[in-house]
Amino acid sequence: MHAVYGIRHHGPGSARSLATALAAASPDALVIEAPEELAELLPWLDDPALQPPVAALIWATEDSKKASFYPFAQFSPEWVALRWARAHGVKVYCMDLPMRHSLALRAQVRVEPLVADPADATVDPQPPGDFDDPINALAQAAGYADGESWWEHVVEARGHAAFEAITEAMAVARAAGLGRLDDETLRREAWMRQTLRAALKFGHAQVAVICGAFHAPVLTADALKTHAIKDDAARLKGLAKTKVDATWVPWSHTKFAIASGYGAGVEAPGWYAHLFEAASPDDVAASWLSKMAQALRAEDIDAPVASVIESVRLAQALATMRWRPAPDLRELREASLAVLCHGEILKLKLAETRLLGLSPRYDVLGQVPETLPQSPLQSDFSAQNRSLRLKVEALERVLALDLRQDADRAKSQHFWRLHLLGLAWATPVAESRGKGSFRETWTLCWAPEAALCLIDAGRYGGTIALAARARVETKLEPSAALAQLLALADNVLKAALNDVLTNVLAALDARAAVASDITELMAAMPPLIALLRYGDVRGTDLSGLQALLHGVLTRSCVALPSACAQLNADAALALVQSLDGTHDGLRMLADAALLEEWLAALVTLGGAASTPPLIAGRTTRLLLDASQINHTAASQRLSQALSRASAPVDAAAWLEGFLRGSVHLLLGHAELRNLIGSWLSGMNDVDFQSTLPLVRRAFSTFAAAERRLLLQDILQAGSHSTSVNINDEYDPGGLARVRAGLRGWLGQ
Amino acid sequence: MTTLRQPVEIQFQEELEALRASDTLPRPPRWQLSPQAVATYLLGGDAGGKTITAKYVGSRRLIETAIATLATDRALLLLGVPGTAKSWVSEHLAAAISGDSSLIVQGTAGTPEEALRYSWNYALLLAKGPSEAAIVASPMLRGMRDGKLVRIEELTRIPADVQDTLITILSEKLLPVPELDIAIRAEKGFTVIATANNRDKGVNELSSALKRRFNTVVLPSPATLEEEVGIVQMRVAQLGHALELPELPPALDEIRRVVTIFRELREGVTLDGKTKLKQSSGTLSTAEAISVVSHGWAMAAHFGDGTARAADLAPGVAGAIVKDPVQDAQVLKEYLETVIKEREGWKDWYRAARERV
Ligand SMILES: Nc1ncnc2c1ncn2[C@@H]1O[C@H](COP(=O)(O)OP(=O)(O)OP(=O)(O)O)[C@@H](O)[C@H]1O
Ligand SMILES: [Mg+2]
Repeated sequence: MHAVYGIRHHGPGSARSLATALAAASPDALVIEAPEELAELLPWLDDPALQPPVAALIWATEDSKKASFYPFAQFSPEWVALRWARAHGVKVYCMDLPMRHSLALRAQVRVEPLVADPADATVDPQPPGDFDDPINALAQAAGYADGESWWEHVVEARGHAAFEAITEAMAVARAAGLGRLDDETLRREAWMRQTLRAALKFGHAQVAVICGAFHAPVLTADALKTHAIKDDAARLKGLAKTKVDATWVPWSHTKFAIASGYGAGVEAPGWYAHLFEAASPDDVAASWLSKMAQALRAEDIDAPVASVIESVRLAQALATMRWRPAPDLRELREASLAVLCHGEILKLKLAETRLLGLSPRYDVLGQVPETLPQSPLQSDFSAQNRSLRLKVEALERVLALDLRQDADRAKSQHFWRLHLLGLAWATPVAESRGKGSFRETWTLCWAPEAALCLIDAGRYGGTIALAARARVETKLEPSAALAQLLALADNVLKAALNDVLTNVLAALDARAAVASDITELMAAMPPLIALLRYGDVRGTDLSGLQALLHGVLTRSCVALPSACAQLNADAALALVQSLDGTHDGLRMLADAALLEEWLAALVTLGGAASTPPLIAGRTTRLLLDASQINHTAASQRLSQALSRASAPVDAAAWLEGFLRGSVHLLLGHAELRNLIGSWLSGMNDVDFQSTLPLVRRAFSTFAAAERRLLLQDILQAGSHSTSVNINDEYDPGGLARVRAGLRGWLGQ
Repeated sequence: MTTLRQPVEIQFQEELEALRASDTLPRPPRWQLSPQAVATYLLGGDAGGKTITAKYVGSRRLIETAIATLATDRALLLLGVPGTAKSWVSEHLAAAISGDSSLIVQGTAGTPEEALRYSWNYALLLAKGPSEAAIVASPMLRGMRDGKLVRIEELTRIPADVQDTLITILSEKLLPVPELDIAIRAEKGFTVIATANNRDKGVNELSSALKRRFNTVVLPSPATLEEEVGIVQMRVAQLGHALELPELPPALDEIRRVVTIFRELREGVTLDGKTKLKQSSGTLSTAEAISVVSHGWAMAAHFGDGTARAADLAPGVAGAIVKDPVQDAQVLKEYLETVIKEREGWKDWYRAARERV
């Protein structure tokens, strides 16, 4: 004899009904919709360290990219049933098509039937409406917000007959073409029937079949007759096969909430957990609104008990008005909004973020026993975490490291190794300031996919260090861009994988040798220099890197003058940035030989007639900053560049290169300013207008406060004409024009 | 009747009677209708074969929250930007629930405490000494005595100390008369609907103690162009009927243009989201759109051929936009030149509105 319990996956209402039904029927065997391989994981349910939400992860041994997650929350009916079976020593049959077949038949990773029946799948070419969940579909048809309230109000109210009613309703739904009956579904259902038949043959007195409601109609006693055994067997003959492994991994509430990817499409896991935990259905509203008030208080928003009571009254009045036996989430939200939040939707959102289980900040992550058999890489990962005192948590956490501390440096290395493996657990926070300093910040947030990533990375090696190393090797393709290799070198350096660093540097060197593009080569300089400086912080042996830098620098210095001659405007601007970065970096590096080589190259570059004016101007500035030339020399070059002989556009470009970045040059030195002033006021209108944007661009690299300083300086100087050298030839109109122009550029 | 504007319980008497006749659901004490029938009255529907017109166009759930609030004896605060039908909803709620929308306290900076309590008939007071007979009841006191809804308009304009009087009334449902050493208790059915404009920031922010006495329902601006056009069309037709304007109401297309202009300048961006616009200092609420369109209709009826066209509507539109003669005129001008001028089929509007700036 058997009874079919069609449930709503992850429906707390179903879970409760099922618990009551099992207690009443006390079956001696459970046949459950789960792939056969789940059976080997069931003994872990007795381990108190297995805490939902968790997922069974089943993957193809040969290719761990093929995998499925079967998530369980504490409010999942399947979980409730399995716990019940373990507690009562009842035999469990997992009746769904084994993953050794499903994975062999299918390509990618996904979250499996316990989530939403593939039969109700989303890829139907003619979408039948919002039927991802057949019970949701029925609920919506009946005007309910979601399947849960429908279950509570319609199914629960029927008491014992509930599951029969569900089976009937689903039979009608299937007959009406709801959901998708493709090969995969039919195959699975055939397997389910075959398993069920085997269980019945075994001679149990009372068998409870637990499946997604959608499958209920094809698993009844009648269905076992109408579907011929030989048809089912024929459908299952000769299925492809692959070896699989299975384990438990932690899952999280937010994972339940996301409807795509790895998610489970549960609208509000926090609400479901609440429904499941509530002492009785009557208690749901009051206790939810109390939680709401607590959440508001946690956000420093007043929520007195008196208001909680009023909100309960309003929610109940609303439910009554709408013919509902009790408020559902919608009424509770409306009541919270009107009473507790004074109509302010933002307050409601704040509180709900805490309660609904939709935000990583307030997520709930499950736990798996440490004694669970693990792949070597997983064990090493856990061991490393243990020794570094790191905990895997779903809650987002920020960790600030001080690299001078051994413990923090070790953490950083660990994180950078995981980064190389693509494990999305620790993410570096881009430092806004103080690059190369001793600080590093990470956000930690464990997502269940990370478990799969670890399993997958197992093919690179049995420890984190080995796997990371091997992973790096795979990235050293000759086609990799210089910037990519640099980023890799940076990561490897931070991960303290010194032996493999040599290989990366060799690849970099080889790549740099064939780099024909001066912009690419020069762009590599600043990060290379930064690498050397980072390396210093970490006490790495840097001789290889130094040699590489030297090589690249020499190559650049040689190539610069001729390569510059052919640059277009955009490339020239990009190059200016690299020049600046290199210049600053080298000056900070305090390697006299390198710096000398660099400055010599700048002198050559500045002197070459073919150098584009923007770069020539910049070179002059850099040399001035490095005290290689004095102000007199710089003024001379400026005045040459701005002389009538050069085209106004070129002059403006030169000026831009010269001025970029900092205003202090102009503040301190009236003679430079005067040169620029007389150049501007000497132009005719047409030239003036065409150079204006260029000059403006130069000024726009100054900070607003700097620009204001400059304007003050100029206007003051202008009003006491003593301090500005205004020639008699100056036409006053010209000066006014300059001033007006300046006002414009300087953003006043 | 020749009064310019009848109270809504008179205007919609037939509908209310039809609802009352067909309403078999339980009613809270002193309610003329069940909460469900009140919802039907506001949102439209059917009552025993008679069509009930929609008074409010918008979220059913909001209106249900408002009604459920009143059904639990709680005070209701309707909050929203200007012209979102706060007063309108409050009036209809009072008419449907208590059959009387006339108990109003108008909130101003000068609203005295007496407006919420009572004053004395001094002749009687002098002649016979203090007695209940000498009390001149405020609308609030009358509502309490008769178990009816009392409306407070523009609650936030009332001075803070006067607002405090409300706290006792709302929490204790009684009004002390210290002069007679008695307290007047409210009958069941009494509660308050207040409206306040959340644009008037900081006029007289409600104290948190007072806020707690209210359930707050925020009435939003219409979410979409079509919804707003529908509201304007419906209200203009009703108003035109009351003003005995000719049968031919303004074409839907013209209403849509008025509402389009209002929405674009209100939100500072064209409906297609492509062009950013300067915003005018005018509110450009739905209510103003309604009055602009009905005014244009009246102008066309009295001075034109009866059909409201761009030329009849544009002056009102311009008037609503240009509140500040310098800045807003600039806003309108830019809008006309950069948006309206290029828009296909809007030539008449461009011409008509240009004359105004
Ligand atoms: N959603 C709507 N449904 C029906 N009518 C509406 C709607 N929105 C606005 N109106 C109409 O707008 C007009 C003005 O509304 P009302 O005076 O009630 O606005 P208010 O919110 O009280 O504004 P204020 O803050 O300026 O007092 C009414 O005629 C009303 O019919
Ligand atoms: Mg109003």
